Amino acid sequence: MNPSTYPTSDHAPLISKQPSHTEPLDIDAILDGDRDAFAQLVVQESPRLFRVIVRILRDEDEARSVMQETFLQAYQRLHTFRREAKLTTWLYAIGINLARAALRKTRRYNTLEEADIERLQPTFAKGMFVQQPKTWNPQKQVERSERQQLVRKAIDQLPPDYRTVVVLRDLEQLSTAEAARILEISEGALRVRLHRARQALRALLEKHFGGDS
Amino acid sequence: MMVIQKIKHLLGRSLTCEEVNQIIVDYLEDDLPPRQKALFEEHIAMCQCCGPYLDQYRTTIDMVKESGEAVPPPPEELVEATMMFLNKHLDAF
Repeated sequence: MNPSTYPTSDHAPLISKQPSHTEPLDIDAILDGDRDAFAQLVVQESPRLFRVIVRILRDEDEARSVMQETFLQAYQRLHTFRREAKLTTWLYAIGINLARAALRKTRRYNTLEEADIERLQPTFAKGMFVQQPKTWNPQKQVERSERQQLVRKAIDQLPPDYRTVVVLRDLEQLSTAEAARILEISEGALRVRLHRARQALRALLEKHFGGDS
Repeated sequence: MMVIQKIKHLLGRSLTCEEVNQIIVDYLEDDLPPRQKALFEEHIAMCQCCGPYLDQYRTTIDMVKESGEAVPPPPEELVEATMMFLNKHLDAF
């Protein structure tokens, strides 16, 4: 990337030196509003942030727009960063909140409601399973590419809050603590939401993989 | 749940299927106290429902991970486009 290719205006360019993928972030300079330092953050975090947002939204054009808005809001709100979390965690919290908001706006007809998630949880009577789970063997039953499609379709059906927790924990493999900080909920609440999401996915996939009892 | 487990539970020495279900996440994150972990594993080994259910639960997680492998890399011009976007908006900031 060459800074000379950035659009010119009557003002000074956004950055005056070429950012690199390897240079460590200068947090103090970023928080002082130094645009060169902020550009470094953009270069380093864009690929991962974009990937997370794509995984939540499943739409590259919308993800690009949400990511750009994320960096803009982050720069404009640098004064609200309190150093209680990592700067990148704070950045991801902004991005994921924007992604979830966008997802709610464009809710598709097949997205489940909270009541559906409840219905997809296993049922117990006097502490015991009501129905014995069937035997699964998805690796033998369905080709890998078809399996991936079925699972993605099931994830797409989850309500935004549940989809987001699955993306952060099971796809991005963030720790419970970091995912909870990003979503601004307690670790306990995150575990409950993750568990309900996984159980809902299991139930949605059962019709494809639960044939051999 | 087998009869022996019912008896143990009545004596306060085992977990029900529902109790096991509520701590699956903690178990998979290896975050259970040793005593509770032992009770969890004891139940899973004996119960005809919870063993297969835990297998399905794990398989679900594995398949979710597998489904994420196919995400395409970000567009090459993404960073540059983002910098252009910021340049445009921050000049007015």
